[in-house]
Amino acid sequence: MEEVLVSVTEDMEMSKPSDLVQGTLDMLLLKILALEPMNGFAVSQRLKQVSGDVLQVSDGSLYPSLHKLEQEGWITAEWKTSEYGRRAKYYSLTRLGRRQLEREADNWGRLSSAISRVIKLKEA
Amino acid sequence: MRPEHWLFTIPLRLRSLFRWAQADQELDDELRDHLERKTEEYVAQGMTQEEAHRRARFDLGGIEQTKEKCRDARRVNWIQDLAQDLHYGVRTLRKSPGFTAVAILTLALGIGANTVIFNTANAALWRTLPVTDPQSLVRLISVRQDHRESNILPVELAEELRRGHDIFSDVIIRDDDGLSFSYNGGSAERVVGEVVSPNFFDFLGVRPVLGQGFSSEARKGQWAPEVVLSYRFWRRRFGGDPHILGQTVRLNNYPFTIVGVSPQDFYSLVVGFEPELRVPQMPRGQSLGQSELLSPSHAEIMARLNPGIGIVQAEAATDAVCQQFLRNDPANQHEVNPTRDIRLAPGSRGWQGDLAQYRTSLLVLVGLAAVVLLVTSFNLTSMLLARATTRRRELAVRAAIGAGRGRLVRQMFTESVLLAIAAGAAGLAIMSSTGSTIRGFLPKGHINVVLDLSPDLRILWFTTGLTLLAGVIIGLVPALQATRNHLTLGLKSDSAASIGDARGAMFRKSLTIAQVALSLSLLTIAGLFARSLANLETADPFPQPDRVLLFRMKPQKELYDGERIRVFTSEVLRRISTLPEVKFAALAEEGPYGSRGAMHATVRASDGRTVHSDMDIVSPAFFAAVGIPLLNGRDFSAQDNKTSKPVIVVDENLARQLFGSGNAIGKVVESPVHEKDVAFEIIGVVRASRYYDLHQSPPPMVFFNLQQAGPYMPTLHVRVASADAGTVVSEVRREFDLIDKGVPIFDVKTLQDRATDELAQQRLVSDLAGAFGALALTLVAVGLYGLMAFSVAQRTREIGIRVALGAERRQIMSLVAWQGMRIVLIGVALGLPASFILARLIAGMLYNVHPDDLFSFATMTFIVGLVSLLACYLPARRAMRVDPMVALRYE
Repeated sequence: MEEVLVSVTEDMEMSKPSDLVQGTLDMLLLKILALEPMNGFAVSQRLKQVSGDVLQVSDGSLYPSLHKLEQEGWITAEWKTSEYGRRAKYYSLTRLGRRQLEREADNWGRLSSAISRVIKLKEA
Repeated sequence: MRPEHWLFTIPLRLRSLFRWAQADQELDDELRDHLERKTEEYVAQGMTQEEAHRRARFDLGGIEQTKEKCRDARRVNWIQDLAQDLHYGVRTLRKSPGFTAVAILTLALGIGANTVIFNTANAALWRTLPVTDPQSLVRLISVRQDHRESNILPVELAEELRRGHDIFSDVIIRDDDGLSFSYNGGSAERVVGEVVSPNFFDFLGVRPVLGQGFSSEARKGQWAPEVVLSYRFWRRRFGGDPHILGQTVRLNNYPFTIVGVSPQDFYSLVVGFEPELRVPQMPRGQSLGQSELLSPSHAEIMARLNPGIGIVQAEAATDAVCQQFLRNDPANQHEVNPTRDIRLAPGSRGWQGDLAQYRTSLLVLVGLAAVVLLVTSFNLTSMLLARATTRRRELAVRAAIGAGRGRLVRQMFTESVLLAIAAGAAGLAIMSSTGSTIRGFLPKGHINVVLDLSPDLRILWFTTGLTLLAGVIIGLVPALQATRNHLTLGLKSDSAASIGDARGAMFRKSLTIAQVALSLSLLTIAGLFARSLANLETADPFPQPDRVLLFRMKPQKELYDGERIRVFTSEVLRRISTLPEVKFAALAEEGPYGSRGAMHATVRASDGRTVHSDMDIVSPAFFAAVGIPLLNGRDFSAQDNKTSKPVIVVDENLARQLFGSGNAIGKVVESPVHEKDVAFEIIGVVRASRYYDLHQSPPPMVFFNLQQAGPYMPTLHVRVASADAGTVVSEVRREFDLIDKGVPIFDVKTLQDRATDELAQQRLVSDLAGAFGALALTLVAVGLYGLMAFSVAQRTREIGIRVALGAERRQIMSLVAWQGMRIVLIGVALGLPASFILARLIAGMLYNVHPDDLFSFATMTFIVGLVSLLACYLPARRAMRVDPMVALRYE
């Protein structure tokens, strides 16, 4: 089974990867695209960059996820010619997608604070 | 693939099919672009071009694999969603079984009614023949000198066309007549035989289900006495016994060998007709004394176009051949109304036959059935709307969890389509079981109408389309309505009506109004038809028609010459008259409502005045037997025979037209017989009666003497003393057997039966329209009740407040009832003008009933009002009993 999202520690050592759910990946991709429209390659680069190399999405999972998000109507795609005369597919967030992102971010917030609370419990 | 899946994905699939190649190319471009950029990245990090490229590919994990995963991501979503929708839809429907059952039942009745009518119309009017390549078949039509069209053409023309004129690949002829049939020495039975070209079955591509059909010798032109039985005759007469092949039967006393049985789905080339058996045509120049049928001089002709030749082209060519033929044909010159031109018409449905007259009635019924479906659909929409309002909370929760509006709409849609599918299946089941009922409506004349009512593919498509359409109509509005904004309001437990609610209620009201209007229209139409039928039935001109028995007989003229038939008929009359229960016995060629259709004659007085009239040929005591009063002069008697003076009896209409108020008795008139004018003396005048056609006022009538004109195929009319017909029938049969076993009696019925058959069409329309009307009214009542009950439930708090503030119970009841009746009144106000317009459209089908018949309109309006009042009464009563204490606490 292929890892969808790999959380990598700072020293690039391939320690045991923790699989994060597909839904989380969707949320992250949506957020990245909320910043600005970009193509698939740029999305994975940006995600890696802003997470400090912690979150890296494998190429084999990136595009199926993007296509699924497009199918749901949360992102929309457009073929643009970049400054170098190169044609690339640019994704951008839709209104529906923005709502979806808000929903998922809310859920994630609640989930993560709940987990933090449990973990931070003082042991006897 | 499940039907709903198809429904939803069709637009997307069409789009993705179109863009499939484009989308695939784009996917490819996208991934390659990614690879390029990744490669550049690695190169920038210091790898060589080759290494970078390899590493990039490795990271991606295989282009084709990734592409496949992308494609799956797009596809799987749809499948998953729809599976979920279906599962959820089924669960929701199962949770409220009562509602689901009622919904499916009402919709099934609506769809079933439409399918039954459509199936009947299809079988009678539109079905193509179950033969090979029916589209290439054409019928030849003869355009006569007086511009009238006829199907009958000289048989030699068919041969001429067959002789390689390159227009047609093959040509066949057909004709039919009654024959006497006997097997193994048993008594003779009357059947209808069809004579066909020997290559008939090959021409049509129809393979006999038993045997080989006509032998190859017969097909090559060497005639043999062979007969192919029809499937149903084989089942009825021989019990489907496969060993009858090769057996001998006697047709008109001549031995024929059974060489085959037609397949079950093949009836004939004439819609609504099926002969009991088929015999091959004899080659030109040959004939058989026992049966003229085998060598017809004229017949109906059908041909198959050569591939590549259009019908217009063929018509021109055929006409040319025909003109040439007619010039050289001496027989045609002497015909009364000879053929002038040939026209070709498509033959894929065969020849029309007796069912052509049903066309208007069937189309009217199709329209009425459509109205019923509309009413059921509106009813169901209303019910679903009500349900949707109560499910607001559930929907709001689901919206909060993340279902988009489109998704919710689709889910509700699934439910209604599921309902429709279930109803459609039930509707088809209803249709299959009504086959015999419909057949009961068809007339049983001297040649029964036979219809293949088994459903064909077209019916299936029709029902499916109708079902889906119904599902869409029913489901769309509630789905959209229920998922409108303000969903958050549903989460609050507040029963106060929201804006969306009010709109929904308005929509339900207008649906109910529409239903009332439609039902009223339907009922008034049904009422008019019912009155028309009643008028026709009570206007029976003949007294006690159930006491008049009719027996048809046909002494085959090839076996019985004129003299022998005369002797035979005299003997029959003599013996039957002496039977104990018999009051009168007489013969007539046609008799009242004769199913062969009216015969016509022309009568000319000495002063030149001419009358075109109907005619019949009768024996003495006929008028007494049937019950036509003799007004003046005398009846035919035994003294009027072949050697005495030619005499006739006329009816009062004819007497008046020729002689005014003067006495017609003793006057001499002329009438053409076999193209020669013969002088007749009028010996009697009878009362006018609607002899042949119940529907119109009767034309003048003249009666000729049977012995003088010569009997051909007379019907025995016997008036019996009591109503017990059974014994008399068997006694008559016994007498016939004693006189001559070779003359079969058939089609035994009473005059009443014949009258009923005449009205078969009216009965069909009237009964079905009535059933539809009743169905629609029931649905309206149910719908109205539901609407009112729902409204009361919604307003329980308000009612409680009113009561608490001092309103009387009775006031509450009338408040609620008035609310309901207001809807009904609007519906009636809309329905009445619609009914007027519709009534005018069907005015031509009514007998003695004015399309503005106030009685019908008033009655139906009253009925609708009464039923609606009842439907409103029950919820109103419930409103009356609301306990304010309970109501005010009700949420």
